[in-house]
Amino acid sequence: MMESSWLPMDFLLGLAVLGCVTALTIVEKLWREVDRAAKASERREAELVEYLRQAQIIFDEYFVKKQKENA
Amino acid sequence: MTGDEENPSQAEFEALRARLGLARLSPSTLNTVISLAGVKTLTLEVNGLDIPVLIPAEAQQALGQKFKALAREEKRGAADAGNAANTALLVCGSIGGPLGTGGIVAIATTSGHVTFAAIAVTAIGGFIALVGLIRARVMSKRKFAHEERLERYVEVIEELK
Repeated sequence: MMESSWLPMDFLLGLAVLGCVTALTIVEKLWREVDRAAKASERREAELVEYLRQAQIIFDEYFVKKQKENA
Repeated sequence: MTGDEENPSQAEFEALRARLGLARLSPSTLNTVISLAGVKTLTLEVNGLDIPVLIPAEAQQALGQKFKALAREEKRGAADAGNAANTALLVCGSIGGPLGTGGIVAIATTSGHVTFAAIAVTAIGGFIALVGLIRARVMSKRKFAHEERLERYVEVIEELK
């Protein structure tokens, strides 16, 4: 190893910290978007299940009515 | 989530409907309903729970539209998650990789107080690359979850046609 003074330590560290902050900021922003979309998807699925339950109760009444009409 | 023209066994079907609070049809009515022309039975598999839903012919189109809207949302979610995973990998790889490599080169060619900076740079570069990899992997998982839901919705749309 040789002694070197051409590589400024402050510049090197500053570059690393800047790179770290930039990369983590971008990734965090992307992650938040993906996470929000995933939670929205789960919520929509839960709403769908509830919607179908409600719809089935209405459909059941419809079927009863239809059967009475046919009888 | 599957659409099924064939009927499950009557007792099993009634028990499931009763458990889900959908047992408002008497067994005889249920038989009549199942035998009606145009009625389709959808079995929704959500979180390990099977939800049988009898869909009258008149409601199939409207329900199909609802599933189509959901499928569109899932398709967009899957595409977004896939793009985000690629971007995360690209950003962290292109920043963390050169930093780590540069740090290693600096360690090999310098000594004294500069070595500390080189080690720090290498560590930071490695950390960024690792964070990118982990995040990209989790985002890919989210993408597959979206695609799985999309597939189920598309199956139902096909069955309702």
